Amino acid sequence: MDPHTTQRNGRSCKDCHSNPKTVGLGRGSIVFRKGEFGFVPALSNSPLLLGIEHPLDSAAGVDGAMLVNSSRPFLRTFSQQEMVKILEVGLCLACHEDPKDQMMLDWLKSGRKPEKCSTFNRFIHNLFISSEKY
Amino acid sequence: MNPTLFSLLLFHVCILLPIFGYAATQRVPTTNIPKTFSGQVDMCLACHFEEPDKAHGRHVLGCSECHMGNPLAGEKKKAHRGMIRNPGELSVARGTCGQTGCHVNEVDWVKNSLMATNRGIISTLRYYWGEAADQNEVITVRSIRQGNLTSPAIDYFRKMCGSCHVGLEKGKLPDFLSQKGGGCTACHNDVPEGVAKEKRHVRITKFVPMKNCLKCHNRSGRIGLSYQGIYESEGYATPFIDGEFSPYILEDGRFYLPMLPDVHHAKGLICIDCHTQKEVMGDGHIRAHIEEQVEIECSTCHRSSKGLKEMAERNGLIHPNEAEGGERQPLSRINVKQLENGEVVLIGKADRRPHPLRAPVPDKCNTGAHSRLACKACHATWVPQCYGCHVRADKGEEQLDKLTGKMTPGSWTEFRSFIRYESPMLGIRQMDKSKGSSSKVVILVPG
Repeated sequence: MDPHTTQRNGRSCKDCHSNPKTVGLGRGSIVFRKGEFGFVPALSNSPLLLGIEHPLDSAAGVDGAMLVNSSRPFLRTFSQQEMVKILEVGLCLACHEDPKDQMMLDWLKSGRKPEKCSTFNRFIHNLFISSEKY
Repeated sequence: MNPTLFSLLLFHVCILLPIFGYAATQRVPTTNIPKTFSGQVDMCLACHFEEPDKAHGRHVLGCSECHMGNPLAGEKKKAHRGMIRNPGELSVARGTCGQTGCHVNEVDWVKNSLMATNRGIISTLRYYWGEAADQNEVITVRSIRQGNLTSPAIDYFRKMCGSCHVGLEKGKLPDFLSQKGGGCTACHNDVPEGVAKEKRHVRITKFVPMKNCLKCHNRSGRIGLSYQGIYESEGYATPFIDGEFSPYILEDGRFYLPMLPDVHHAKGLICIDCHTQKEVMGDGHIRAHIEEQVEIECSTCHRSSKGLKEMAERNGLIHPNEAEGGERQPLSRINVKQLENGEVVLIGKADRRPHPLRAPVPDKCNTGAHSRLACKACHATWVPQCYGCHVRADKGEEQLDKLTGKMTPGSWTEFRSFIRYESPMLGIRQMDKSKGSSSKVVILVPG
């Protein structure tokens, strides 16, 4: 649906690419360990509370499984592949936040992921991307 | 004087004269018979001085064209026989607003529209609750009212949703709900200010004021509230101000927080500046859901100057099929106009001012990686998100059935775990592949 809260300036890069809420995981922190994304939810995912095995604000799991029903058959949450593609951009935003950065421009135009840089490689085994908001 | 003659005279003066005098004031004098501009006699005009809008003016149509009754009768009782207080009610609109020579098509469209049938709401509700195989069931407010279908979802609809359809008779329900409904006049109705009491009449307007839309469009998606920068907050009246409850409270008792309004609202645009006639009133076809009825998208107005000029010349929308060389379908008019300097603008329906239309920024919007994003995926900055919605049924209590206006056994209460205003969650809408694009990134809203 259209929330009817349109602003002239769009959301920031990080608001989509580093925010677990945006990709459907819910509030919490995204972790990147050994080349894989993980998610630490802010809300409890204990089934003892509500009888569901995921936090109330999670619509999808990191494996891309859809955890809630949608109001239309043609709507779905992101698949794991799509989620990874979005969050990978977030890994680079720490250094390349300006959308006019040549690396980002190339990425935007081609949609192809750039080669990993040396800074990225230094942190690749234990990168913690905490959402700024939560 | 003879006492008998005196008594007779006294009887005439004190009893008969006032009676005949009163009767004379109730009968319209036959001289100067009131007529409409077309020469049609309308005796109602002798007693009624209410002034509707210009197009429906008292001497243009007279009273009886809309309100029925007997325009040739000079007596109140006879003249008012068969009169209709609100000609806009859908139950009578076919013979009033929709009579030959007036709004024949529009009345038929509205009767089939989603705002009159609530088809999408009912069929989706029944599908959610496991009462229907899919959410495209052909079921309407009317079929529920006239039929004998009963189920938990139907009862829930009757009691929790049933006041939001234009077929609701205005004034039938109590309290703030009495302002809802009224058929054509549910929307095309404005109350004039500074008019003398005897001349006061509802102003029928094609420029539907936003407040009329907001009577219904303020819950569920809360679109009408969000558009104005109103966020329905938790029900605790927080944050407290100077130790007191928050003063921000809606008519129905919900608390809210002021937020950033939609940029279109900030610039003075109202609902009908974007939402076209056929989107709102329907086009005669029975649709199941709103997305099947929507004609516009952001790119309708936010497009290249060449595209805008084409639209201004057409004085209407260009159907996607037509743009691709397909069959032309009539679509609604849109209020775009080319100024003398060549600029194409949208003329606001409320403020009547030109509003510039900006094309998307090429290096941000039309890039490869973001090409399948809907505009709102980036430009909608917050949305109320309701988590853990649940309802409680209590068979031991009674609740108002909004379709009949009567209290019936069984009541429903709605709850939520929490509501937040946050950046919207995104997801995928699978599109029709025959239209070129296989999927689009859109906003998904829990609640």
